[in-house]
Amino acid sequence: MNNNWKITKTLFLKEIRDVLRDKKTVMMMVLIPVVVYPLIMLVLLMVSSMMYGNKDTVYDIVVYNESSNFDTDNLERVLNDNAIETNEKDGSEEQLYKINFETTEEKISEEDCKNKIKDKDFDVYLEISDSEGKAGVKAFYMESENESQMAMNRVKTAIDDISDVIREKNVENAGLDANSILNPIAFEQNGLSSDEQIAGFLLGTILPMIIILSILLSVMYPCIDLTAGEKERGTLETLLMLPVSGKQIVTAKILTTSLCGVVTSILNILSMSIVFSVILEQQKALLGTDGTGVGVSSFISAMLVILPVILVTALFLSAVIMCFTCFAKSYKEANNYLSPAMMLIMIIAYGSMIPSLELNQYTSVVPVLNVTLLIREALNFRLNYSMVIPVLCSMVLYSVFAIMFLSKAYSSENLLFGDGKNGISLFEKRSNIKKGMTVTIGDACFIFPFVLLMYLLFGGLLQVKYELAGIVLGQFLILAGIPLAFFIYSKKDLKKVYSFNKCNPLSPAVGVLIGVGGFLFAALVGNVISNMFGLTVSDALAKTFEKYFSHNVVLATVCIALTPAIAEEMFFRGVLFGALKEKLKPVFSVMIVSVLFGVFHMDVLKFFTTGILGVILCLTLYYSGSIFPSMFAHFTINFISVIAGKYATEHFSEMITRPIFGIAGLAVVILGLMLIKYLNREVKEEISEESGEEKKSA
Amino acid sequence: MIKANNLVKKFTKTVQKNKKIEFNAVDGISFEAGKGEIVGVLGPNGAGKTTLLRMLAGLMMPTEGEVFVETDSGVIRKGENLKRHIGYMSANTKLYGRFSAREILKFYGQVYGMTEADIDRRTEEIIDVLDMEKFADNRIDKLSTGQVQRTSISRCLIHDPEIYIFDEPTLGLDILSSSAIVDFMKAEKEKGKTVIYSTHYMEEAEYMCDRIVMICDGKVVCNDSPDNLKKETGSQNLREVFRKLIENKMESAANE
Repeated sequence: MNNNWKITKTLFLKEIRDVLRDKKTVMMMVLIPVVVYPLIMLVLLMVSSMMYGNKDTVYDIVVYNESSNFDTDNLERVLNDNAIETNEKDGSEEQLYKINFETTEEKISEEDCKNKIKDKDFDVYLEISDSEGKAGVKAFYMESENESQMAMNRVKTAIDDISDVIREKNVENAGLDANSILNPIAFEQNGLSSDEQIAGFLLGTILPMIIILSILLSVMYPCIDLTAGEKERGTLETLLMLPVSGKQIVTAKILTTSLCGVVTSILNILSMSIVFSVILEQQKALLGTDGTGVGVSSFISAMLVILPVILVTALFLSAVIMCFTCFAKSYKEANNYLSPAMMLIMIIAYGSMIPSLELNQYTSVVPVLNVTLLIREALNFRLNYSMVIPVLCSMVLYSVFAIMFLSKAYSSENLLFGDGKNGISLFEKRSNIKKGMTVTIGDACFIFPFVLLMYLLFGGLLQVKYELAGIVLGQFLILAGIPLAFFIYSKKDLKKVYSFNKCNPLSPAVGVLIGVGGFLFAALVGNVISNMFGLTVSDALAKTFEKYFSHNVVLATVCIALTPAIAEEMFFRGVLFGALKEKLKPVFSVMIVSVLFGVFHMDVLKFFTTGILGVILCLTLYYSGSIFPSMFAHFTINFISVIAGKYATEHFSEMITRPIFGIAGLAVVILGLMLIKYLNREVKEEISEESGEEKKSA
Repeated sequence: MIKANNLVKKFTKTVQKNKKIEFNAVDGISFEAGKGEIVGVLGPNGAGKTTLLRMLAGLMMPTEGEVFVETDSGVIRKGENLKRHIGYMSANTKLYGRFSAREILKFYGQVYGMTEADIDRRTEEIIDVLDMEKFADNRIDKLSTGQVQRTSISRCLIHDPEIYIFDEPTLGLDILSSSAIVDFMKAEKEKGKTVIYSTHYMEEAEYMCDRIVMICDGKVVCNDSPDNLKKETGSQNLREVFRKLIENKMESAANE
């Protein structure tokens, strides 16, 4: 173990040195966050201050007055008064902008007016005449010209001010109380947020995205360099000649890229805070006041939370990006593979801009989204600290899976010498696809995210629209249908893909038994975990289907017990488990499929319960060699949930989640699995013999 | 001593109209190379030399058959331990361009688990033997082809392996550089090391090798000393032997 770590450390130090000696990477790591980002920010600030005008900006206003009731001198005076701001404390005055007010004796046509505004002869033209006994002011400006637009706003404010004075005078002249008539309701706005909170709110919308982007950008280049770049330079074979394992190589590489990401984002945050505080100080000095009163110190606690999050994000992004780039043979190819992934990550990072998205038990397990939301809420000072653990854990978990996948890839010669056996059938010409093949891992990696995305998008829509019928449609059309269409296209042997194998006639009955035991055990686990999350027992039991309990029992059974038992089993146990167990050890296949099954249910609580059920169902298939027993088991589990949800009392729920029942359930599951293994020992041999013969004949 | 037992490696390759077929790049090769022996692996392009050497080096897993190394401490069959006894070099084992020769030797020594003192001693030895003093501290990027090749060889030497496997080590080198490498292999042989190497230069192989293994289409055509081969085929030199044996083999394959 010690030696293992020593080799990893040696590899890591080598990679770090290699990366640091590459000027391009160092530039990306240091120059961009330290120089480019602050520069962009300063330029943006300057542009925005230019848009709002400064004391040297002159707004040219031209007036043609044919009205006898309108006092243009008064307008000029009001405009000039508004251009000066008086400090309430010391009475000093500051010119914000200048007004150049001119009158003209000739009317200007609209066409002329347009041209003159464009040529910057003036910004606004006012045409004042009398209509129906009062002064009518027509103002002409161009919305597309910034200064014209700004001048227009000044004019409008001035006209409103003048109107107010006249209105007040008129009301008083009529002998009424101006204040009560003009302001019938005394309205006072009191902002309770502290300056820090306001600043945090503003920071919270953009900073998460900038942090994630800067990690992404700084991680991307070393990731390509250490994987595809290494292949392109031909040093990979040299590296693999060393007595090192794929895991050691991958760990060293990922640690290196993560370190780059962490360094860059910390530099980024530092440089941004320095720029921010300098700007704040500058404004304080300029205004001669306390300024906004935002102290950087108040963000220290937020930063303490953000730091570990940055660490896991850098780890996660490195691992995920490397999963893409390790298959590329050159920089160019790696860039092609990365583009869609980058787009996806960036879109998810925008999540902090959506106010209605909150960090909860659902979003805390969605990678990248959880990070962007967590950083936002930390900066907004309303972070629920119990959410930090699921965010960190889920990110680390995903990274570990990616590292396991990569280690596998780096131990395989396919990656190195590429004989293309792991490809995705969809990308091959149909005439080249061999008939009767099973699903490859490449196929599975392609199908799972696609189906999951489709199911989340359209399955959710169907459920909202058609309720129970929507579930059936979604499950059969998307979960079962899309892969089926793909397999028919790629001429797979459906019987093999879905493990539609014969099994001992008693096995379905054992499957039911396993289902009962599995339900009890999952209920116990759900109870324990829900206590940790502060939910009640019945929540844990019935969360899945609570919306649908009002329906008829038979209908509910068909829609939420029978349908998933068929469609979910076909997808998870048939397609995914079938594909993985071809290449990976059964332990890993079971674990990966069960985690995916848990993720599929999109809930922290259900992640654990369904994850455990996933393990049990996978083993049922593995030991029986057929999908039918696991279908029966799945049906039983969902059926009990339906019945329990509809009829069970609080007392019953409480009783059923007692440890004794859960442990008994686990015992039943283990016995059931042993029994099913025993029952199908001969059938399984037959199957393997069959496939063995086929291999020989092929 | 390194032994290969009935090695088979299956690949899929693309033939006309994008059709893919499976074929055996190495088709049942067995041979062994003992202590103090230089074995030359010869064959036309695409015969399976590189695949064979990669399997011997433990870089590729054979589809069938096995490779094992017999050392004083016992038989080693596969995995990372096998790699510890082998120094492998080919056109595809390039070096990190941003490192110097000394740094590379140090890195490799560390991964092989050598002590710092051992690494330093061995590094100086190798630099002396291969005459690398002039460029040992320059980045690989800046070196000439011959210098890079010598650095590559030094990389295989650092852990003092019993077996060297070189895939065309003298390819593209001038006479001085290639003779330095040839001399080095001879010297290692004298020390009782095993050298297996492939080349297209027949004169070099004739001068160097104790035994020649010729392969064609993944199969062994002959396995004997250069002198015996010349006698058997009635040829003047190895170049003629090669042409006679390989042409025969290819003709008979074409007739089938």
